[in-house]
Amino acid sequence: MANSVNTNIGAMVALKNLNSVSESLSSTQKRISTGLNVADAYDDGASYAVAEGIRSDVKAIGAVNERLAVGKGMIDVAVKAGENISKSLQDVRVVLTKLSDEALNATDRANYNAQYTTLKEDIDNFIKDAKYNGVNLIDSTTGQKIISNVDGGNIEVKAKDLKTDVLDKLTAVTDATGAAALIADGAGVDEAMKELGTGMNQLAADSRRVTNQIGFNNAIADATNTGLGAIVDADLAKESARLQSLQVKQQLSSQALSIANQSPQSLLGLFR
Amino acid sequence: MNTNLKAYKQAAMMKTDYRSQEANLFKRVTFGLIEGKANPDGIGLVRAASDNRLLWQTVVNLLRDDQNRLPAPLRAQIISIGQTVIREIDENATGKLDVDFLIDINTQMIEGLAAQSEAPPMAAGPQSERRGA
Repeated sequence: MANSVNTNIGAMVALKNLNSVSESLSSTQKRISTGLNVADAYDDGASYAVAEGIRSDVKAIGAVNERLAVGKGMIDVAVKAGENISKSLQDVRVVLTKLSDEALNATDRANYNAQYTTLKEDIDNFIKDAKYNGVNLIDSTTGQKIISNVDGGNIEVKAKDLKTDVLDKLTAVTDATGAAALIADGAGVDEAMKELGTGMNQLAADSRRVTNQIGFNNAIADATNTGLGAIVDADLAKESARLQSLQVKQQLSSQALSIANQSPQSLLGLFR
Repeated sequence: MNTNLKAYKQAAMMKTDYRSQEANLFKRVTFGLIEGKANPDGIGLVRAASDNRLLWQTVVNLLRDDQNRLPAPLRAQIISIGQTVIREIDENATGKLDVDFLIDINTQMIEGLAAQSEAPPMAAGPQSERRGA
């Protein structure tokens, strides 16, 4: 019996298979070209909606971590300023000890007095200069609330006014008795060091909270994102990182894509 | 600034592609680190390191996103390096920061990004139009 194309079951099955192969091929291509399991709503509407939700969650977590990284910068800058102030306070104590000597001649007294003034100016400058991203955590008591999770929760980083609590404790010195009074137990310099210590402790605690929160957010983002988890080396040592950066350089050179190929402005707009 | 010069700079900016703009961003941050290195006790270095952390945190976020089209192994590798960079800054920003390490890593990124790719950009498929930021 003659075979007609219309009734040739074998041909029809083959044709049907061909169609379905090319359909799945095009959806594979879609996946390859987009790097996503569900590329668009045509693939699978419900999965698309879920995937979009996860994507926006991960994006939101990323945005929160960027704010936290800025917060960490504010804290680190304030801590560094605190360390420098602490060094100056030790110098202040030395100079005041000299000034408290009744036998000091007039010239030396004038010199040490000038040193004392300079050290106070240094401390003042350290306080004023402790700004990151326009925020200074040691020149007033106005703390900073930093968004810490995608639900709008926040971490409040406390500020301490080191001008009032530290610098203003170092009053002007006119004679040996005044200098001695400032370095007495529990007096000016002691008080200033104690206040500085309190401030630094608070900053260190806030810094740990911010770091922990970033780690927690990263864990959520990794759990939500399926693709990369296993191939990211979470404990890469510095030396290996150096070596791998050479490979990265090579691979980046052969790419036409930018790092932020999905949204260029999110990187380029960083420090504007 | 001279307005002609400004216009020229703007035009030049528009012409540069994203890769070289990203390289410039890395250069700016790295320059801050190099400047800060000259005065290791200064606050400038802490600020530069904080900028570097923010830069890398953003890079890690972008590469973790499944919509990023760089090859997955490369993304994973850059993320791993980024985490090491961020850890170094987190642990040592106010102490013994290994500035040379940070500068070295950034330099590789700058050179990788600044290199002109020999391969022509992949032809944009019909899907790439829909996939915006």
